[in-house]
Amino acid sequence: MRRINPVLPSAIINNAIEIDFIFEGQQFKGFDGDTLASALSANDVKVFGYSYKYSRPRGIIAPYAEEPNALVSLEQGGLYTPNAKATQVELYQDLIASAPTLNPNSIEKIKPLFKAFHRFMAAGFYYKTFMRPQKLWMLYEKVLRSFAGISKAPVDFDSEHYDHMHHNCDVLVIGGGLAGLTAAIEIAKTEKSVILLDERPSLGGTTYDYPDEAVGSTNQLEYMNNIISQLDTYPNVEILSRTTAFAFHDENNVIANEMRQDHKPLSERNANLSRQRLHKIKAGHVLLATGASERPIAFDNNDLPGIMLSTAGLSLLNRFSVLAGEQVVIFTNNDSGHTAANYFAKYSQKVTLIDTRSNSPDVALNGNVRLINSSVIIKANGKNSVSSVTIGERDQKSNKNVLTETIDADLVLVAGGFNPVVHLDCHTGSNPIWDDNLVAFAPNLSKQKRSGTGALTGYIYATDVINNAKEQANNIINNSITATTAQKNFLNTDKFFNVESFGGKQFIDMQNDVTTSDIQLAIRENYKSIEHIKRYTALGFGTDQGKTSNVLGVAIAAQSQNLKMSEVGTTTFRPAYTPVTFGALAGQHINDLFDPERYTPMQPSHINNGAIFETVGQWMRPWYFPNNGDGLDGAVFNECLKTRESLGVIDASTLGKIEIHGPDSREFLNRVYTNSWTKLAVGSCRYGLMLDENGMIMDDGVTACLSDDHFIMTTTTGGAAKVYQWLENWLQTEWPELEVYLSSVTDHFSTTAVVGPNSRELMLSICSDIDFSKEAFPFMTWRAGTVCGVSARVMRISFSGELAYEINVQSNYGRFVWDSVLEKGNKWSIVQYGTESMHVLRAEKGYIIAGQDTDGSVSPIDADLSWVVSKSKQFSFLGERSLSRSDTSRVDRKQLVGILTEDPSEVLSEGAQILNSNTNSNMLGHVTSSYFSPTLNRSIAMGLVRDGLRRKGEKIIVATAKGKRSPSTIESYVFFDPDGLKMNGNESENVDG
Amino acid sequence: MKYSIFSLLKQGLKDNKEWPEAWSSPIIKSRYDVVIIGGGGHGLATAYYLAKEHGVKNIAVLEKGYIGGGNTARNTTIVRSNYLWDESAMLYQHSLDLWNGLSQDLNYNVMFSARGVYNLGHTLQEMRDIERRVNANVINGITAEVVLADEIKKRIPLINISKNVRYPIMGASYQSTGGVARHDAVAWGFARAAAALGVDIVEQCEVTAMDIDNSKIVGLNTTKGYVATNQVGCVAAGHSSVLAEMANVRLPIESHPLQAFVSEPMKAVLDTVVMSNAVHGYISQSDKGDLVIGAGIDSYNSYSQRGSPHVIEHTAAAILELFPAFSRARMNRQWGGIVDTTPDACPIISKTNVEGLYFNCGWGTGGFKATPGSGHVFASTLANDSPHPLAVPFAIERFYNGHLIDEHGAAGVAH
Repeated sequence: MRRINPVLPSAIINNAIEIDFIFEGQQFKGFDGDTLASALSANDVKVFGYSYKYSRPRGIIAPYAEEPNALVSLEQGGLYTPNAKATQVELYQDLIASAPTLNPNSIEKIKPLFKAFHRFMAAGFYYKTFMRPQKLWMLYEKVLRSFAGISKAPVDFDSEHYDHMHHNCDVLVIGGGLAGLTAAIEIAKTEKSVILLDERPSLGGTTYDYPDEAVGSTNQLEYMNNIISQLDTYPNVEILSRTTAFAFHDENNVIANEMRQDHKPLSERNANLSRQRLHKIKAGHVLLATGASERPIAFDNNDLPGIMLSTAGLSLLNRFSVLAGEQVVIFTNNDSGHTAANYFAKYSQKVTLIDTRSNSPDVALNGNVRLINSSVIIKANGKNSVSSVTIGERDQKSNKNVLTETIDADLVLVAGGFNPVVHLDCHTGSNPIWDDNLVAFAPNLSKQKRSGTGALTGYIYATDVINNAKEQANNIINNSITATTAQKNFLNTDKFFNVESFGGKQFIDMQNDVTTSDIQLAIRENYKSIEHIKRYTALGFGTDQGKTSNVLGVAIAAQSQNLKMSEVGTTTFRPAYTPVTFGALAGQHINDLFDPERYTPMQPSHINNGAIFETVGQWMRPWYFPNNGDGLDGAVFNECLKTRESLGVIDASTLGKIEIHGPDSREFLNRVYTNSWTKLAVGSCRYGLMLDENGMIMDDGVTACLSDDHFIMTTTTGGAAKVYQWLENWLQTEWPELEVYLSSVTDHFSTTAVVGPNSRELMLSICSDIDFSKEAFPFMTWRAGTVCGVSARVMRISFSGELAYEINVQSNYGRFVWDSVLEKGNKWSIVQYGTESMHVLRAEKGYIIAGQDTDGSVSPIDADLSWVVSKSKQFSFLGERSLSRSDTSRVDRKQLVGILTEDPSEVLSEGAQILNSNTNSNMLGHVTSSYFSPTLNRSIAMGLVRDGLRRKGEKIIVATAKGKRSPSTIESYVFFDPDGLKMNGNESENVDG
Repeated sequence: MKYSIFSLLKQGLKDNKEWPEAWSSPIIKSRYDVVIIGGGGHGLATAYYLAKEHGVKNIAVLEKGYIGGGNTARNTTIVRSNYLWDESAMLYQHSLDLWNGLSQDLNYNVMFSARGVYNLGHTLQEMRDIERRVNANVINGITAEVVLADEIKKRIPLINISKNVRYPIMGASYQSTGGVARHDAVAWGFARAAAALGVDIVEQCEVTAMDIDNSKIVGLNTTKGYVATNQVGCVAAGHSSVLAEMANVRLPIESHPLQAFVSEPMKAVLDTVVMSNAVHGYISQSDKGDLVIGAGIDSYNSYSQRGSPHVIEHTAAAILELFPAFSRARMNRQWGGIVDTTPDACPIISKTNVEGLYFNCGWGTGGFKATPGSGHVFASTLANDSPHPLAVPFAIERFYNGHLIDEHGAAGVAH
């Protein structure tokens, strides 16, 4: 055991509560408050896996979210979690973890076989080989793919759920360390609303790792605990722990993910509580207190387990009471190494401090520490973990190192300086700037209503941090923001990033096995931009997003090209700061809530009546009613015939309905529809075609005139939202002079359409206050009345070619009217029908469906609907100008025609292509609609055919991918009752034109 | 130096210290026969084919950032050619033909992986459109088939074909010859091959003005000085309209952010490409193990290379509709590109009313797959001062005469 007993006072673990857990099948014990990494370290586990490319043993190197090596899989089945960082996993009773690359059955076991080939596997080697023959690439790729990846992908349904929450606040403080807490409490005093986020389970940032640091007469840990207890008393402060701000979007929109259950034993997880919650926070001001993370110094074999960042070692020591080694070597280029040495000297007999600098710094050293100045670790030695380090003296002139001695070591701490955690600031396009004072990239903070404090801006020591946090808080309170960073050298950091190699491998990005020589190779090959280096070598592409490797990579790129750090710059830091589950991103917008499912008020009746449904836009519509177990064909046959013979009914409530109010409504309709609306009388209806700017049909429908300044428009079911937006767009941005008001009323009214020769009889039986005589209620008019006792607008319009009435009532009466019609209709053997029969009936009559018979490339002339296009309107209508363009006005365009197969029993497949002959593969168009017509007792089809209107009567071939060729003839697409006798109740009447 | 297993072994033995530059970075010259503006995949391919197939000697590619850093580096790398209309089908198929054999032609492994592409259908209307497209594809000689839900499930075990989801999968069109490629490698491979033929690739060089005399292009002002030239091909994707404005040419292009994201690398679990228009998402898994996921475009115009978070959220939800198990996978990185969209969702490959000035743009959300074909036909167009036969339908004139090639296709609107 490596646990220091008694537990250090600064530690957050509770050794009264023992926790059992399993790692790689082996039982271990830890304490409450441990992370998986600290508990395993206490158990002297050093190897957490083998590396991706070179299969080298790897241990933890970082204190928290920066960890590139120690990736584990957690739990099984619906609770499985891939790629968790052991340094972030909170230990709980009976946790089961495995290290993917330690698994004896994994591909990792064969990777060492490739050892002899490592020298041929430098960065980008795969771009230079595996090229011939082309066909073999799929095989090579399969092998490469089996090598890649870390954890297995989840394959089971997630047993937990996620949700989202929205917030507004005056000030959002990101980071609950000393800086964030100090600033938060200052701002809280002003009654501004404050949200404070921190990714860790307990507030305090790195204060636990440096507990002795003085603040006035106390230490920073006590100071911080005092602030935390004070903060609890402010009702205007909301603190979210275990909550990582992972994306910073424009206009101070910050997205954070809260881990709500992952830290609990499985038996204690609450199924009613979300696993994770996405907080979407819109803040008046964002104060970034995200701190700084330590970077390593590269030297040969720097990846051996037992070598870690000094902050990782200090975190294990002071936060978790784990002394990760007895023989401690600290390699530093700044004062923080001296601080670390002092902490370790309290518990280790032997602490050696190797400092690249020649001068001793301001920190007084514990007498147990052996300090070696002007020196470096040339290489680390050991097999599965570090056993010694070879050190050398820096020759300032030649920049070579002179080998001096080898020191036994089982714990090597590397203190290479600190990088401000600039990631969030960069998400909005604010590029970090190299700061020679800080020897780091500093945040730009150039965007408005944002500032930074604490280590992020170069303040490290507690007193400086507190002063700066107070100052920044006051700046926010006084609205006098000035972005600043500390003007003094960050811990007297030496600009030293890597040791001259002695021929071993020096790792920069441990997760992707990117070495110093890989970066040098990239530059040699002219992949010089830092983005090219990143992409060529995979530097920083890992799940740690290069938090420990990025700046080192930049430094090596700068050295190799004799450039300044600022000239190389960084790659773009992108969300997510730490990975976020897809589940959290989606929140509750999955399954039934993925997209609203819309039903008409008649839905319960449809279900009772056995309807099979079809998805149309967001709506669920009855597709057909399989009475007596009929399939689609049988049901449609029955529905169509009975409707034509006697009476049918269809739920037409899903059609879009838009109310148009205002004195300029007629003019507005004139502009958006192709035909004229100037003279449409109150009480009348008219069919309209809507074109896009290119003159192509985008939607159609019937609009009724309710009064001189009030109309109600219907649209296609699927097109309603688009049409509404389209109309609003024109009204608001192009025609502000028109006084017109639109409201979407689709679900305010439900529509029962009664169809067939007996529909008038039916209407007479359910409505006594409307005169249904042909003279009083002609085709394409509407009348107000009472139907089944309910106030209704009845429209005499038809989408079937039959005499038909559409009964519109307030939605809440819709089902009642529907059920009443079904009941009353029994007298005439009423049949209810769905969309499929509707399609057949309308196709028999030659009515188009916008979106099925048209596809955005069909003009009204192409659709043989010239009669709907007015040529004499005062104001042009949308799309009119385009109709005269040379290609649009061609007479041999693809045009909508009827198609009849030679074999009347053969139903063409929709989407089949049209050819001139069996030998000519030049496609003339395609079949848009095709059905067997029960009425005509043969198949019918509509299709778009090049020059079709002039080719009626000519032979064509209809072809499918499977090689079917069907001889057919081009016809008119009105197959049934072309004179409209049936629609008009068997009497000649003027069809509205 | 030719790349091969032998050079890899040889150089490996020399500790990889003697690899030459993949492409050189010459000092910009004062005069070029042809200047290509834009060092993405399309621009570099154009330069390569100009040098290789048309013998043009003095070519420069000017790139304002680093090569391949725009949409080439930001897309989801899908390659397919199953377009509906003849004009686009022919163009993309031409490109697909070039993808096959591109690694060998460039002597650079672009990792074109024909692992197949599924375009899912979730409604009857979508299935009609799929039938139509597959019929058209097959008659046009493009590999395509209609696959129904049960068969999809057999081939992609993780996909959810339950009827109890919001938009159940009914079927798909499948192009077995489609797949993915390594996007960066495409830019680098073209750059290396072009440079080997003498093309000057000039990075960090932004064009600031066009010198036009009497409706003829005579030179360019750049951040690296003035360059005289009589032929300029603009291949600048989202910034095409910015260049066009310099020449007083108007392009019917709107630039929108388009986002994508990847998961953390995980062991291989998805060996094909799955796309769905109805739920708005597409997904494949890279050779590194990342799930690569494409989102929809933001509806507002922007040059910012950043998009809105709700688009990412919706896309994650869409992917979970198709693959519920990925709920516990984690997004590692998200990013945005700027796509140049045209009214008919088809590219513009065109001469302009300025003599010697050509545009190749408007590839919108789907340009990556066209990279070799786009470069190939554009090079021919420049070399002959006359559109390549496959590029004829894509001239800018179509927005004047109405001869649009509307690949939005049937929008799935129904009664």
